[in-house]
Amino acid sequence: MSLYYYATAGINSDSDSIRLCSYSDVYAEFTSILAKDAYAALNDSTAVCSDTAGNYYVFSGNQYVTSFDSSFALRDTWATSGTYSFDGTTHCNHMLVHPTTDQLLIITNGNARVLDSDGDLEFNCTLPASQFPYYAQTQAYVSADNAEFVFCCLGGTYGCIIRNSVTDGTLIGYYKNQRSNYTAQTVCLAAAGTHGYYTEKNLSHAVVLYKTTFPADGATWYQALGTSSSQIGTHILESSDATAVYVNEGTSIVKRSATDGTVLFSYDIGEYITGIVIAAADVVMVFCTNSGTDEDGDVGNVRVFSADLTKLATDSLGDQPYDASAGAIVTPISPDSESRYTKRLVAACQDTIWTGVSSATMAKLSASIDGIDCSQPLSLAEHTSKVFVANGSNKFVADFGNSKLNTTDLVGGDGIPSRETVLAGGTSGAQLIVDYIDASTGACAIYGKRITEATFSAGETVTGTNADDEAVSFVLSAAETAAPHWYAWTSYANDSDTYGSLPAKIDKVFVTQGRVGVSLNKQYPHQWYLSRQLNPWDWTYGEDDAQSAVAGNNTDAGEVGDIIVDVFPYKDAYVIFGCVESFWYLTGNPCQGGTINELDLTAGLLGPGAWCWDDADNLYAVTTKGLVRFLAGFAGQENLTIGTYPDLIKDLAFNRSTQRMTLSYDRERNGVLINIVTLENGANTNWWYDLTSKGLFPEAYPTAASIYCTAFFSATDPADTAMVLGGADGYLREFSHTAKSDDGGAADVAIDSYVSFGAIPLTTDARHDGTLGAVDLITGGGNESATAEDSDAITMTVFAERTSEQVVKSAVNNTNAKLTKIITGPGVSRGSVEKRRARGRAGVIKLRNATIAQSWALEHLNFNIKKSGKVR
Amino acid sequence: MAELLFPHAGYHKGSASSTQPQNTSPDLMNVRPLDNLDDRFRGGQRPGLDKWSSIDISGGVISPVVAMCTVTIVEAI
Repeated sequence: MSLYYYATAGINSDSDSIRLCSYSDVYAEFTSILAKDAYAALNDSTAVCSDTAGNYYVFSGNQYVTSFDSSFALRDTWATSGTYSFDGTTHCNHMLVHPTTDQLLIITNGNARVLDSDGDLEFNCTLPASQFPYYAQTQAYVSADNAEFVFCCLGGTYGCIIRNSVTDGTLIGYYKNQRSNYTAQTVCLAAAGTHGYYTEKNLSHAVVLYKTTFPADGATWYQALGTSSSQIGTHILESSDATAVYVNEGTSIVKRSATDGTVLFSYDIGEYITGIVIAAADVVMVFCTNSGTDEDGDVGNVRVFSADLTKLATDSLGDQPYDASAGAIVTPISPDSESRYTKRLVAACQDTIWTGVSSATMAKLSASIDGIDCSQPLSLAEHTSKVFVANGSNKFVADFGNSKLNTTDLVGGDGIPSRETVLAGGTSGAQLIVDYIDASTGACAIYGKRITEATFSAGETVTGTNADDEAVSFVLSAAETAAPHWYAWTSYANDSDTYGSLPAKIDKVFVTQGRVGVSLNKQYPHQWYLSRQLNPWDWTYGEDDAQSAVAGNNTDAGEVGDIIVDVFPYKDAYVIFGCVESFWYLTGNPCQGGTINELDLTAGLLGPGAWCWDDADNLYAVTTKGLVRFLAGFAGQENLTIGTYPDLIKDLAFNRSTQRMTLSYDRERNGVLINIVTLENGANTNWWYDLTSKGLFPEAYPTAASIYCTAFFSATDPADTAMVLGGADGYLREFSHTAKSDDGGAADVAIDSYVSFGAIPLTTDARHDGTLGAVDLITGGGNESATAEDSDAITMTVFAERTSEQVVKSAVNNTNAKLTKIITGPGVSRGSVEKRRARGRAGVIKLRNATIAQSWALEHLNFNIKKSGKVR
Repeated sequence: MAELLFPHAGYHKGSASSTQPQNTSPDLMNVRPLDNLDDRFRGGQRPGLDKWSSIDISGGVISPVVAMCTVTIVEAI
């Protein structure tokens, strides 16, 4: 139940508007809606209350009860005269709605009327008016068991408690205080209906707390539980175990013994308390209309305490509802994450698999330590939450999705769980769909997807029915273990007779059409192998069905023929075979009409990994002809470097036995990154092919940061989403928007960046030289305070020679510079125009920065050419 | 006055030096058309290499990261 604490609802009878003594926004909303002209019946309203549905009831000075819904729209107006009388009074002392029956209790001076939810009079409560005439100051409550209306009559020389049935208003009992000059304050009846609490205030404003078991009618309350010199005392609440009572005393909440009133605990809220709720057995919530600074220095108007008044929380209520049963602000419903998966990065380094969901959580997969050989070719591929590892004779699975069961007594023969058998724990009730088992009898590990929240426990009997309708039953030797797992990649149940075998040595693994494929078998380098569809444990080739495992020499789609350099799939449409001197592709299901087609018989793939796909389905590969783009759907190909850099392949001199090449599509920067690293020493050659500008740009990195492999990682945290680069020194790196140097492992390294403009012809007259001058260089960024976006200084060097080729060579070799000047950034700076001139027939302007922690951008570069003297 | 634009078409060594195509360069290194300071196609120094993770996954042996991939894991029941 959510309780909406609008503090003490009351009426401002000086105006014609309703005033909730509550929060300003509610008040403002109410007054703005209920303009006095709109509801004249509300004149001199004297009471307001609300029901659990949020409807409001207002008692008007002319004896009307008007009801509004939670949006303050008029629901009904019940005339009071004729149907029932309010005794001619225009004043309602208190009004409330019973929380379960929706009865409306209206207390006037002398009567307590109970109306039903339709506004019809049900009954008048029987009140002992002769003894307790001061109804004008009466507060009313509904008892904790909802069975009684309880009246606390205040004022005069005595006060009293009156209990009436909510069924018919009959008097259950009444109790009084007859101490002269004391004023009744409030009352609290214990939930059990056996006793209650009551405060009274004397003329010196001391407040006395009383406890009583219910005496005979008219008897006095008799057990004083303590006196507080502070005022208030208007809230009393018995603790859940009835041994103590919480009262407000001044700005403090005090817990007193229910036996003798001893102060057990006290806490100064710093503001007068307007409500106390025991939200749970040991949680006490205290409310104030205004925010106060409590004894811990915290500010708020809601505090939550443990039973010993140790503060658990301070908060500000605002107009948020509180859930009394939960003991906390009812926070707006925040939809749960829509993500039902996580991404992990998996990396192989130093003979071990590392994995993490973020940059900060990369950790060893402990079972994999020294399980692989990173000095040998190695590839990874994901299939159904598992990563398959091909590393020569090392064939492993890093399983991140399955649960693992262990038994020592698997019965062999017909009773082994087949793949997709549903196993059930006899004790736990847990269920699991079998994915893989590593033995066919005896000790066996069973891996599968658990489909229940219940988990398997040690010692329980697990049963199921396998695909041959044979009963499966075994006892677990240990409780279920959660992923990740690391185990050898074998055929199902390690049963090669039934499920075939993986090739002995494989360097390549890939996934296509739900099959796990392998290749780069050193014994059969032209061969490729695909597992059964959706079953990476079945390598029985040539079965009579379309999902059968298949190898490249016994199917509709036969072997490639050429030596395979790398095999890579694209979606489920193609598998491309990049060979030494040719390209082929498999399309369709190789067991059902699939075919292998030639893609290019004039060029081969330069090295494993020398390929990537862009976001438009184009394939990029460094071939023996250059950087080639195979258009989407193999609609053609274009050599991207044959015109701009015919000697690219010759200059690369790529040796796949000593070097590694990696191509990566950078989806953030829209380009293809080409990395070549020499395995022995980490020396690197790199190119960036910019897909936006269609240009090739050489790059060089520190040896420690040489790139051996890449993976685009879509992390849960966008800050970790990046094209991750596997470095030579065991660090994972990325291209950074803020880094102005390269991370070289132990230290940052300056980026030596430069670009030459030219050769620029300086003359068209064969007999005269020209001069290049008035070079006006404007760097990127503003002129004012430097920001991260501002360019650092650029060193400008001007070369001029007799021939274009010579001036380019001078620029490349940085020799025979005619003039050099440092242009300080950002933007236009003093001296950004170089007035000196360089004479020759061809010129080059070279811009450069090789300073650590600096970067630059070019905004504008102008120059002029003038005719010079005769050629000497 | 003549204006020179950053060689967005990149490295070019496929023609005579005297007829170097527009927007190309015969000599450049560590520059890209999209500058890294403000992500504008005006040309500038390439982005720097920074550690994606501060964790040395070679365990201090200084050994290369030889392979990587990502794996998707469906949330457990």
